[in-house]
Amino acid sequence: MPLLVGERGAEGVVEVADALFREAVAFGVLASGHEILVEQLELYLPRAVGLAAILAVAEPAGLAFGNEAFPYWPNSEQWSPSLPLAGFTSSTVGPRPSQVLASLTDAWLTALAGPSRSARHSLLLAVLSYTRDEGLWPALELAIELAGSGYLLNPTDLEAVVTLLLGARNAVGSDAEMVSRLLGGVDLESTESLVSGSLTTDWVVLGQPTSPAVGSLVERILRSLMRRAADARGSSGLDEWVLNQQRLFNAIGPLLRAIRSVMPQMPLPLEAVMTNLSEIGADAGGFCGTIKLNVAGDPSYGLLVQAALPVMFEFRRRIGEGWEERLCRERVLVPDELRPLMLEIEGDWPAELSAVVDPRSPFTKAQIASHDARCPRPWKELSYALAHPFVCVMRPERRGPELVRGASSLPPDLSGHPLVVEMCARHGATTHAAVRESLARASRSRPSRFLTDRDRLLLGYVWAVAAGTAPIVNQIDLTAGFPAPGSSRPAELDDDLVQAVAAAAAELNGALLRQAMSGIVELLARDEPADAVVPLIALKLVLPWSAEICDALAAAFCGTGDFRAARGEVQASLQLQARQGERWRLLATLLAHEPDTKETVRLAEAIAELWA
Amino acid sequence: MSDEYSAAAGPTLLVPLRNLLEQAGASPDVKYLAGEVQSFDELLRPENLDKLAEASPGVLAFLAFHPGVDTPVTDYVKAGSLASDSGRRVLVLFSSSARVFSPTDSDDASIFSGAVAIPGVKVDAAIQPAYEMIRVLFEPDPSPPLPGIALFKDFTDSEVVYAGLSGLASAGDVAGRLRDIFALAAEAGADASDRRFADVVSVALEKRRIPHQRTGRRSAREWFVRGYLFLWDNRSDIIAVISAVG
Repeated sequence: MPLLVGERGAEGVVEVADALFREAVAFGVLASGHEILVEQLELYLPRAVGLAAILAVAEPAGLAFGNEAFPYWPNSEQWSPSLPLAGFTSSTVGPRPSQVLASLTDAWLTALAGPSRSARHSLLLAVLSYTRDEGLWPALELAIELAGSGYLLNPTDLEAVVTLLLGARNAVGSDAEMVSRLLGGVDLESTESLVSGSLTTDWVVLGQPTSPAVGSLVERILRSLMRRAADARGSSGLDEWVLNQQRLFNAIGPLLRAIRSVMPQMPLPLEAVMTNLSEIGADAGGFCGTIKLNVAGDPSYGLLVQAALPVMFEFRRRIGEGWEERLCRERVLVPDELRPLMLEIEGDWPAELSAVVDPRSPFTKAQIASHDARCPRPWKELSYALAHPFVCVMRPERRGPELVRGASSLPPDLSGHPLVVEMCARHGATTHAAVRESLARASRSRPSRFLTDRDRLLLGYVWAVAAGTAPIVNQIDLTAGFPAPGSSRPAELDDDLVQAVAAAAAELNGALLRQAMSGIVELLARDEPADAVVPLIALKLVLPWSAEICDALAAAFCGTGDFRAARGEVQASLQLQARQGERWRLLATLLAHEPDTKETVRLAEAIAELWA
Repeated sequence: MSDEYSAAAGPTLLVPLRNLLEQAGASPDVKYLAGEVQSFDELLRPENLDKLAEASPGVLAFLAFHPGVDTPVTDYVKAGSLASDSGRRVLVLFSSSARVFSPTDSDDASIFSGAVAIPGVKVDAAIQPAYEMIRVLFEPDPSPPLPGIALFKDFTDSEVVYAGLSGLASAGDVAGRLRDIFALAAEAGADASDRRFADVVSVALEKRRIPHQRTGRRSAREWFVRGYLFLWDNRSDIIAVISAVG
């Protein structure tokens, strides 16, 4: 279902705007909970600014929100008094896409500008405003949706607000009384009053016996989380899976902690559900942490298998027959679509857990290799739609996605690259074997400035396990969400070596791109576009996030008269780099070949003028 | 704005008995990678059932109904007030027509996908999981008719009281009857000793003219384990109602 829609005949441009809007949401979702730096936000913000410019041109021509409801709260710049202060978008009333985009970027800037309290304050006011209009449960759902849509860079804001609201509701007889007492003198009708007013919260005391109203709200929160876990299992590809895992991690821990704070005496059946959700949250945290730390490379199908295998091993060992069904339904480790593939085990299960925990073990490698040919394309690696959010949040040291190798292509051999050799020598690694060892470690690491203390602790533990100096901990600290780091010390990261490896890889990939493109440009110049298509597709498998390759493919397809395929490539290219007037003009030209596209052609030409 | 949180508030949260037994024996906070999953042999050890009873709120209840035939009860369970009616003081269990592998809710159609009642067609209730549970409970005596609810205090050698729910025409009637039963059972569970529980419940049911039967002293544990294993082998399950209210 599209988030953004346009007038009839405007689809070509609307599709790009819709994808860019979703990309902004994805950035927020991935960034939530990873304590990103201002420089990471600065790396991404120009893309949001570009989208805002596109929306400014497209909205007067009819671009608007469609039927997919998206949560919003106000921003400090573009919010008219007639707009509701919070809610869900609709195709008929409410804020425009540009206003909601401004709210999203405003939320990120607010979170990074100072103490998290201000984002928390915004969330609380939004939820209270919605409670006044719709009731507390719809407002709590709104809070969960706001967190899952990338507004809250700090997930503890969700915990604090839900804890406060549950505690407040526990002490009063109605939602209206709660809103009134929390607001004190603050006028919900006045934006000014809301922003500057302070809430009255000192009467809220936690730990009291749970009222029927709060008990019912707790049940609803748990049902909502279970539904979100089921939705995550139903993900349609790796992009959605990664985002949904991050959403689960950002929501489950904070909400369960909020529930515990208002329900100190938990009945056994409720505790069983809390435990199940905690396990799902811990799995999600482990998965997202593994991606961030880069210990297993960029997201890929292999990473899914590596994350699931240890739990599969334990389920099989403990339950015996029927373990597969229970694992798939109880945890969020095996996507519904990949069940037959991931549950097909190549060879015999090993006797020891260590053989399935180690990603380099023959057993683990055999599983991934035997599935590879049948793994559906959307599950092999992240698509270009997530390229920029992924690089900005998880790999900012690469600066951009253009020269990033696909996770399923072979990495270049960097062991002889002068940058790497020189840096290794500076670290005392002079033999070829020592260089290779340093290289392997550096290419599975991150610069320390992008990691938290806990990240470094976990990295140290992972390395210690790989080196055989620390035992595999077959336990999950449910209160923390990540695997327990054991007694290992924070990793000492060789930042300059990690940077050298990133730079060397980009240089080699750039050289590969230049060399391949020179031959392809020649083919296109000789008017032999059909001959250029096959090498371009092969090149795209190696560098799947390159706008330059998409442009060349578009040109090749144009040359062969396949304008629809060419349009697809231009749209992909625009998603990767939207601020290019030439590309928008090419899109207009290609759309003109299709029937009923007058409106979208005019729109594409107007957007092209933005970056003429 | 709606302040109504005490009435039926959407589907009822449900959790498989397996998860409940595992939780009863779990260590706090730290879990293994596979959670607390255990094999059936380990799970149904007497000490695990005892832990379940200890951690339970005071009274255990098994709601026995045929989802396709006893539609007023089915409608009541689906309607969502079962959790708030039973509250925290009565742990309500019932059989599912399919195995349940994780927490779910009463919107899950597979739980009720028993035979559908067709006017004029007699449904064979002998293959129903709930019927099997009640048959095992009363054997060698003839079992009372479904629907009904079996009430017991724990898994020791004690009596089980089975209160009938027959003849109730609507989900509302079922709700009214069960609210009475839950209230009196909770009161008896809180006050009466293990051995007097059946007497107290029986007298309270009699006062309200609610038809009921007693099993006589027997091992609730043996009944439960036998019934549960029979259900599991026949691809059915036992699930518990989750209530955060009360």
